[in-house]
Amino acid sequence: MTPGADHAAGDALQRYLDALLDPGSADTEYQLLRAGSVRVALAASAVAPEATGGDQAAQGARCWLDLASVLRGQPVTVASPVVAVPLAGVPGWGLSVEAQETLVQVADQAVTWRKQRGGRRWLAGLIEQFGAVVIDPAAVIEEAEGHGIQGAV
Amino acid sequence: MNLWAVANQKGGVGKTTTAVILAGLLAERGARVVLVDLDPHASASAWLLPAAASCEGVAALFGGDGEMPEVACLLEPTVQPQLQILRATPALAAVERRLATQAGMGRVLANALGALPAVIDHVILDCPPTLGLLLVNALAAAERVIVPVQTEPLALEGLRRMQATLEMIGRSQGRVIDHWTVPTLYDQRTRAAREVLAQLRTEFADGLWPGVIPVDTRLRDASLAGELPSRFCPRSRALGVYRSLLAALLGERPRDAAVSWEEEHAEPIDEEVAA
Repeated sequence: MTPGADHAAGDALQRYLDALLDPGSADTEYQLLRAGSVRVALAASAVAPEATGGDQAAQGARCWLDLASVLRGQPVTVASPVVAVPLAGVPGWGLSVEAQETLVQVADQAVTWRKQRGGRRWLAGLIEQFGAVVIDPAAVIEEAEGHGIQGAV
Repeated sequence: MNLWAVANQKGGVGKTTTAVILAGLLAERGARVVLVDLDPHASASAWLLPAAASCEGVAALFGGDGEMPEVACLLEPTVQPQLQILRATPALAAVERRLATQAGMGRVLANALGALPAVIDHVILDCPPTLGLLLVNALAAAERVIVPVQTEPLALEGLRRMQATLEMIGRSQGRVIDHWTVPTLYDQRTRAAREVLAQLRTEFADGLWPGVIPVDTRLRDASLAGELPSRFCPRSRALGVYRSLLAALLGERPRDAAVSWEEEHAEPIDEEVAA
């Protein structure tokens, strides 16, 4: 196969894979995580597109918030995340979780959104199908900052 | 829940053996494990389950005549109490033909597995050796991909293709897929195996686990007996190396830590040759 034909075949394969993995306009993709034995759903768009998981060398300088401690209302940071989830759009922040599960697609109507955010402002809703709480990453960071934690510069 | 896929677009590299052994070793540690057989050849299912299918297995998740069942209802027990299996059936080949060109079908498995009970600790996906709907579903669902590579010359081209596929899936999903390349079926008595291993370590160092899984006929004996290697031949040398691999996968030892000299250099166990 010539280099040009090889390239075209690669492009065609990428289009095929993109189509197979297209979440569709009605669905949102969530990353399921586990923290403090709680299953947590985080919008996939909120996860930075870099190596997640245990490869800390690839993560860069971030303030790693222990998500389980946030859920308990007493946020703390850890020097070495168990499983690292870097947050998109906020370079100084990331989450440390017990486990990173799979990516799932969820229709908006399948999420029971919380109507009033009194306490625990980070708790945005519930996805019953997956037994997962939906968290708002911006509110998670606000919660941490409210406890005097600052993101890495 | 950890979700690992064992995948390679080349056949005969030790995918099913690796998937079954890792699942068995995890269950032996007390973890609750689900092994998902995505290969229409159903080798893992034949290894661990009675021949007569008692349910439709994983094919049911891709839609049949009725409503999609809950994934937990499709799990079948194995001889190891902590290990359940989602079996493959011949219907899986039809799934591939029927749905391979339908947009959005690459996320079916991820959504189904996301609804597994929270008590499940690990899910291991045994993948088919062809790039199609089922393999794409597995790679899209997996948090980590383990790529067994037979230490023989033709395997390197298969590894190149697999790495390209992982890059493309990652691009589609906007992530970098964590992958571990694991040399398998290593027989250090053959020059070809030694040369391929050396080539792997120089040209494919990124993601390469430093250990090597030796040829070990006890594993084949375990499959013939329909037993988990972790129960059938727990002291076999290949099992010892798989234990080292599992410890690295679980973060109990550094990923790049070399396995012991004994693991690397002991003579391969080949009882037929020995006899």
